[in-house]
Amino acid sequence: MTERKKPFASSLAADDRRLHSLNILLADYEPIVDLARDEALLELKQPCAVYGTRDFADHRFYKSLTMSLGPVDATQPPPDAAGEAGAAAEPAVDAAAAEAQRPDGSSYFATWACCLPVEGHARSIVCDLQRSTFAFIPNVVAEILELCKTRSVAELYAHYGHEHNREIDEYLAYLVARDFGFYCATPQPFPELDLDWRNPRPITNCVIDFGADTEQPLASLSEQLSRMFCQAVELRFFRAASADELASCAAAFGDSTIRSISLLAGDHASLDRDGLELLLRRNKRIKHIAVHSTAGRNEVIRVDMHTTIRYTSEVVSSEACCGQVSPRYFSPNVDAFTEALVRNSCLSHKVSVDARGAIKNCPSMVRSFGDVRTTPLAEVVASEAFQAPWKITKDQVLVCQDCEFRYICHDCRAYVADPEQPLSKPARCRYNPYEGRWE
Amino acid sequence: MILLLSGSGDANLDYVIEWLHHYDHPYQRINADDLLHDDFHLALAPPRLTVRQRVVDLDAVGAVWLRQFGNLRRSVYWQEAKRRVRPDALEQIAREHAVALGGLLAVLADKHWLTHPSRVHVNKLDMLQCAHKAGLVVPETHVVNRKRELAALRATGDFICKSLYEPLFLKDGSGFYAMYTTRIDAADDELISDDFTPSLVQRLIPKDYELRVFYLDGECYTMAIFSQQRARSALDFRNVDWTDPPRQVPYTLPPEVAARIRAFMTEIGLNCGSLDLVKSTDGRYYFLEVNPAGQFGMVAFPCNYPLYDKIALHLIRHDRA
Repeated sequence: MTERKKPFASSLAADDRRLHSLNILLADYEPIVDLARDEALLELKQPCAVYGTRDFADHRFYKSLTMSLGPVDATQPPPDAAGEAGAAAEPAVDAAAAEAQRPDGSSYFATWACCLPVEGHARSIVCDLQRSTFAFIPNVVAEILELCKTRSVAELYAHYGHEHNREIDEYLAYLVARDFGFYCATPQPFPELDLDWRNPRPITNCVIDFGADTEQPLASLSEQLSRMFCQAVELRFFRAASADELASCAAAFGDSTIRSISLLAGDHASLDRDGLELLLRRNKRIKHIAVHSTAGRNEVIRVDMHTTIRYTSEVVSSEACCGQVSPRYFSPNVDAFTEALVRNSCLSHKVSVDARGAIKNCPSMVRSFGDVRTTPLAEVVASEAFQAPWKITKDQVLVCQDCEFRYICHDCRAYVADPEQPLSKPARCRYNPYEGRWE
Repeated sequence: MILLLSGSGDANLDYVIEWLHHYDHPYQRINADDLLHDDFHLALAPPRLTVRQRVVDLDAVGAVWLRQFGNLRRSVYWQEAKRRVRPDALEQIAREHAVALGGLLAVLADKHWLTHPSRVHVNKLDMLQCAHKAGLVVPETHVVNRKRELAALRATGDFICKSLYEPLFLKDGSGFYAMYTTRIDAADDELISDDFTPSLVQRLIPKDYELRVFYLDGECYTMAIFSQQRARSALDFRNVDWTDPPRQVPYTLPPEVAARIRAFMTEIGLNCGSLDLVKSTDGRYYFLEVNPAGQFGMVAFPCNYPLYDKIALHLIRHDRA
């Protein structure tokens, strides 16, 4: 039973309670963790003429961009190593509880629709698209889960000749303990997730780079991107930038369809934690700030569920620093997963402006489609040549097509392992799916 | 042309607008709060509407999507006015604002409506009656105002109380009181006075899971929420910890339940709405309530249902008809 936190009735004089209704009397008190921040954000308005609103909702379903750099601390193992160890070890399963949940052999085991197994060459993962996470499973478990779609647990035992009932029970108990699936009398009412990716927006995301003396026409870009319903921009400074400069660049998107602004800038005295938090408090669209070239400071601060601040000692001197592949940049969510099935997981519906003002698919790519000062973005975006790389899926990319991470990992077409083979894997990926390890 | 009527903060309109653009279909959005900030001129007999100094050709309007077209409290205007206008005057202004909005709706009476203005606000108790008549199972429901009546009910089993009207959030100090569905515990006895104002109590339904149904034009798009997985959301899914949410998955209603929902929605004249149901541990599907202009992003996104596209296509079809 829920613990009563502090019913409203407690705040009333006994004689005043009769003037209230039951639901109000028994209403529970919910503290707001950071009231000052919450109220500051409430006062901020995010107008958008294209949507015809003077304050659009701070919606949680949007695409955010962050430049794919190395891990914050290169000496640390990639974040999935812990999960790997966990999966290899005997899962901490409350056998009795799991047993109690399983009614009988005629019941079915169903994975939650949002938990999708993806088979790789050496091992598989379950992508939990609701909680944005994943876990390793042996390939045989992915096979079992596929069989579970049409077979009861008893039929599953029979399929393996009743020789592996115990192992099957253990696997399923592990999946229940990790909340990837559940037992049910019939799987019928629980359809699989619709994996169609649908998108009405000509452009969903945009990268804009700033070199030593770049001047980007941000007001014009904001207007052009809004007409294409772009949702996310990343502004990347390959030099130090002050909090004031970042604030004024972000302010250029003050009336736009942009729901998420990511900032990357070289360290500056004004970019201490207070300075960055003030920046976040004054512009609700800013969701991520990364400060590079710090003198040894490596830290990730989670401000709230959708907002992060990151300090890295890595030096980001040009667009050539992008393209790192790491579990840090995995996106196990419905939108990214379904998009990766049919589109390129980096370039799809992206447009970029590099530090020299060239319109490109990505600043790291060679081909320029025109100068941002003279060429309208919409013209470039509509062209077949520009859209060609959008359609390269992970299932077409060599090596990646055998990798269990293929639908949650971002691609990179700018730096590929074999320049002679355009469909070769990202050059900066250190993962070997044939052996299931990071090299 | 399609008219979209709601408020500034309604993201659902943004998503439908993207699809209308995609299909290259003309539309005009009018937010209830626009009347307090932008140029707005409604002339009558014959009706003539000007928004931001541009004439809206009312004859060209074929379909109207009506959502939360009101609620002054959520507007930018309110934030300023609550500090600078006398409370009684502000109350009057809110009523006048509502009449102006109602006048615009009346002018559009002969259009195709996605949610007709006469049905956009429904009575929770009436809906329970109608659902029952349509063959849906509803929880045992009482409206009482005496503790002794409540005690007599509670002697027969567990009861919950919930708001008769839409739930309210009372801000206080560094938090708020939330009118979620609440189980009435023995420990609450001392908090409840002998008399109270008329209140809704219902027999507690032991749940397998909760169901959220978005109904559009005869179709049910359903999501199951395993709110029983978490103590704090067990009674009311809205009381959820978003950092550790219970499972939310697409769900297929038994055909007879879907048919009764269709009969119910048809009977009450709603072509669109969000319904809350509970699959009880006894296997029955209990209807709890219907929200004509309720939220449905929380169903559309986790289940990957193409609801925004469907709404755009529905509006376009009827706009052309």
